[in-house]
Amino acid sequence: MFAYLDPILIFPYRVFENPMAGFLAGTFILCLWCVIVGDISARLVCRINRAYYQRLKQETVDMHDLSVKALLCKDKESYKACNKEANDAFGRYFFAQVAAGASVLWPVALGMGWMQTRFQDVGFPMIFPFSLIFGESAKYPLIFIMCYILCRMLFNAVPGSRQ
Amino acid sequence: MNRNLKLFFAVCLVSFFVISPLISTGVAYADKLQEAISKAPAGKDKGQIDPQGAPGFLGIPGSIQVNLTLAFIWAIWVGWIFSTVGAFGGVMAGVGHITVFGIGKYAGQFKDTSPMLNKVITDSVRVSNQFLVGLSALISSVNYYKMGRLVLPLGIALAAGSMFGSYIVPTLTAGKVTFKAYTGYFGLFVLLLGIWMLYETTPKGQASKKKAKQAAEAFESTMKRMKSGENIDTSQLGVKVQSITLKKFSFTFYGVEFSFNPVYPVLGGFVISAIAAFIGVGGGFLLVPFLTSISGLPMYLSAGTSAFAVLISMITSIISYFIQGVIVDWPLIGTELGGIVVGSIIGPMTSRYISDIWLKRLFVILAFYVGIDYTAQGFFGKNLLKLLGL
Repeated sequence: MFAYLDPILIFPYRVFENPMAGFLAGTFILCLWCVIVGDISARLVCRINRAYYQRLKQETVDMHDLSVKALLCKDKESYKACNKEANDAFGRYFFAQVAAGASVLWPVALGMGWMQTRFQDVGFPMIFPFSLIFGESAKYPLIFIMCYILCRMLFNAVPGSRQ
Repeated sequence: MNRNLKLFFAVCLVSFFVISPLISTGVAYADKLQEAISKAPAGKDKGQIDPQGAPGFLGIPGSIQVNLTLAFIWAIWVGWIFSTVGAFGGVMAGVGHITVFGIGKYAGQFKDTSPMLNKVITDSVRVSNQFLVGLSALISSVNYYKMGRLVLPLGIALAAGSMFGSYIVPTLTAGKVTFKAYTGYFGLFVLLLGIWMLYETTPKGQASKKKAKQAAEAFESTMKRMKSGENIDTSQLGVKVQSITLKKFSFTFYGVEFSFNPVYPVLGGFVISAIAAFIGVGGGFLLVPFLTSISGLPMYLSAGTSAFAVLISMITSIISYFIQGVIVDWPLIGTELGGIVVGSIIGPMTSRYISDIWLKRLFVILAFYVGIDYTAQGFFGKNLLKLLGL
């Protein structure tokens, strides 16, 4: 698969003459691909599982609301019981949503996989004070993660991009 | 995430990109894997590296070729468990890496001939587990953080402990844990999880759940009889911090007082995130029940507060592992994440046909089998069947 995608993915890395600028631009475009593909697949999963997620969410919200009502009535015992039920419902909803997480992240892993084939041995010595946080050398995962977070934030800022 | 926090992250990232071109290029550091490969004896026998062989797992020449179709199918099973049973999906993800894909067996070949390679593979499996389970759960944690509310002093205490645990474990253990030892600890963790799951299926465990359910239902019917909003004191809505000392943190939520010792969240956050980073699991599923039990916090506050700690500890743990030079087989992780997505779609469609209690019992048996088998392999060098003399 990487062999087919390689010409497309490597193209932005060659746009700039300066290798550092090319590396950053290429990685940024790669991350943008990952964000867009992840977002599309997450929307698809949420659409398919919508009724199930809604049911679990409703259970959680209902029990939580009930526990708050118990608090408002100063009934701590009922609060504890309702809160326990709310927590159980929350646990089910939390793990059901792992699918949503995986659907966002699978392109990230494949993007990193492609970078591994191309930039495994490339490392950038970090200058102070970044070296204190990230160590003496930054390799492709760190640059990719930073770029991905930035892309995700920019993407979320686009009107209509939030689910 | 509030606006100021977003702005802070944005400024950090932009600064990083502005400054990074100042970093000189062209210096490549030989990573730990290359070093481990070069130190391993060359040859085609077990425990040797065949330099002419096709690159396999982690790009190691002549190593095992993990079957991506098998990985995808196994991940469907993992995703199915996540959406029906919950946390046990993470255990099955680990079983895939350790046993099903043959990575454990391959790493075991280098136990004597190249301990360094054995440990590099172990670290890779640990981080792979964490990526697979923790990062997916992190997304749902972030969603809860948005939905929930944060008790900031508690979140900070929990995050401080979590951050320390998820920094210290990768720093102290990366490159030092053999696959055998890791299997043993993983088994012990699964065994404890199995004991907990067993307790939940016993009459006593069921009775405690039933009691809570009955009490909740009784209160619900009382509320239905009352007119909404009647006899309710709305003067003290939301979280109001009453006092913070080194020994006691107290606050009111909807006028009812809650208090706890701030040392507990720091300690709990440390222990949970240290275990999560070592075994390679997400700590979120342990943090919420922990918070609820020590502070009595309502679910939404527990979820929001623990998500804050999960976010910080996962970022710390991942960066710490990368700084230690741990390598991950990304195509494998990507394939597995795809499988988890498919499994999680199938799960809700099929779960209605299977009884919840029987599903739990099935996973209790699996947990005991995996737990005892891995513990025996890791600490006694024998698998379960050999241990039983079969």
